[in-house]
Amino acid sequence: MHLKKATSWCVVWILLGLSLIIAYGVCVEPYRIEVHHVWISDKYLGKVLEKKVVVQLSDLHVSKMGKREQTVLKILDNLKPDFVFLTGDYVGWHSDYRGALDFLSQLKAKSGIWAVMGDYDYSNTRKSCLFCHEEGTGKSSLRHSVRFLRDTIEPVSSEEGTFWIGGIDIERKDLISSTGGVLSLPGKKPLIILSHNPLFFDRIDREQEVLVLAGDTHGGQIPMPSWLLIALGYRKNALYSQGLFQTGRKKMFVSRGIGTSHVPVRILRQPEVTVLHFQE
Amino acid sequence: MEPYKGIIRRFGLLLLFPIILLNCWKEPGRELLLFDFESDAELDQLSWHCHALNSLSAQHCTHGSKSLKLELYPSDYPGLDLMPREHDWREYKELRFDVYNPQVTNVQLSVRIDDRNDSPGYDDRYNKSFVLNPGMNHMNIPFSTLVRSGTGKPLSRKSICRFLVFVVRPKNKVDLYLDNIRLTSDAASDQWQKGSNFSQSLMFPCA
Repeated sequence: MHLKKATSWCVVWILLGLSLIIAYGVCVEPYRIEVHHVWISDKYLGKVLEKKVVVQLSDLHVSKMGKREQTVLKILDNLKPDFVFLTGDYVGWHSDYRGALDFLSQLKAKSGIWAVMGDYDYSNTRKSCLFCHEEGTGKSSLRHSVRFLRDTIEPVSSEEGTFWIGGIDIERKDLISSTGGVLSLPGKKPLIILSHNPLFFDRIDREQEVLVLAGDTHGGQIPMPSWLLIALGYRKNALYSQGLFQTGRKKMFVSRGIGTSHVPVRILRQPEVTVLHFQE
Repeated sequence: MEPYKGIIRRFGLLLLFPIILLNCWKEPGRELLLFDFESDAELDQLSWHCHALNSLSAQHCTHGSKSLKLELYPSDYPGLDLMPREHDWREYKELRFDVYNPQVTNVQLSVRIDDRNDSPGYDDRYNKSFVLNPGMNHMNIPFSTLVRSGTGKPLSRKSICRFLVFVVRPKNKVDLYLDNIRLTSDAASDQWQKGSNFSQSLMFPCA
């Protein structure tokens, strides 16, 4: 009788604990945005970007301009970035694009904002055009100053020198799988490539001097073992869940992003605004 | 016997009428409309790509009251990427669609059809180019010609999943009006052959 009572109390406490964890994961952590400072040693990028404030934002999944989006803008106001790099997924799956476009229109950076699109951004291909064009026309969008890179690479000049910024479009899987692609162009150094999907990193030659900025994984949103992630079909999360990776000369930083997808929960995987510090 | 002659004659005539009707009767050609481009909701179902702007137009339609206006901007392969709702094309003999070319010169239109959804390579899918004359063009792809470019083997008409029309590296912007994408059986083809004599007269605004 005594054991039965103890067991039922134990179950109650476990359920209460789980409820608190879920409540924290749904109501608290998704809104506690961390300013994550990352130091990257790179003699080429260091020369050009050492004195610059470089920010990466990823996986915003904006449904409307809410508390989380306002917090991100406030953080950026304080950081006063020179460069902002966006690595895709600005909207929810098949959701309204207006919130994301509002957010993009409020982004500011002294030297420019570059972006790529993610798979969620193409969930409605017709609306995805609105990121670059005025509605119903082929004219460039005047709503924001974000420059979307779709399998293109371009030079960016500053007082300290020139670096190259490229963007891999998630839609063009054929280009990612081809040998070379935009990376085959010689002399593009220093080079930053924006790719929503971190698995693009595997396509790059290990001797290529490049920094890939990626997202997509959300850091898994909750901690899970690699074997489970692979079993669930999330190979990218199992291999490149979050943080800095280096193989040979190529490097990659994977952001945990800002928003959530599938389930609106984050536990021990805080949303982040990443500040990249480059040193020679 | 004499009084029955009239009855037999009349009965014979009555029998003759359905026999003549049956002889004239031919099974009407079945037709399945894949895309008609009549509503804004249909535009949402298209797969939109850069350098191609799609909009509904009241001009140059051949079915209903609207057509799809394609504005193709200089790039590699601007065009239209369609996922047909009907994947099983085995009961039909031809794919037909109508394209109006408002340019004063010919336009080379490429057609690609995939029977797999993993983006098969060039050799493993249907590819063909057609010359669009200025004005209305009634396109017709008999399924006897629906073969893979590399091997010449027929496509699996049970699982058609993608149909693309595009222009290869246009130097200038190209406008096209597309309408009435449909599958037809043999009999419908016969009707179409007759109707094709009037192809030029179909160039009118629908409004």
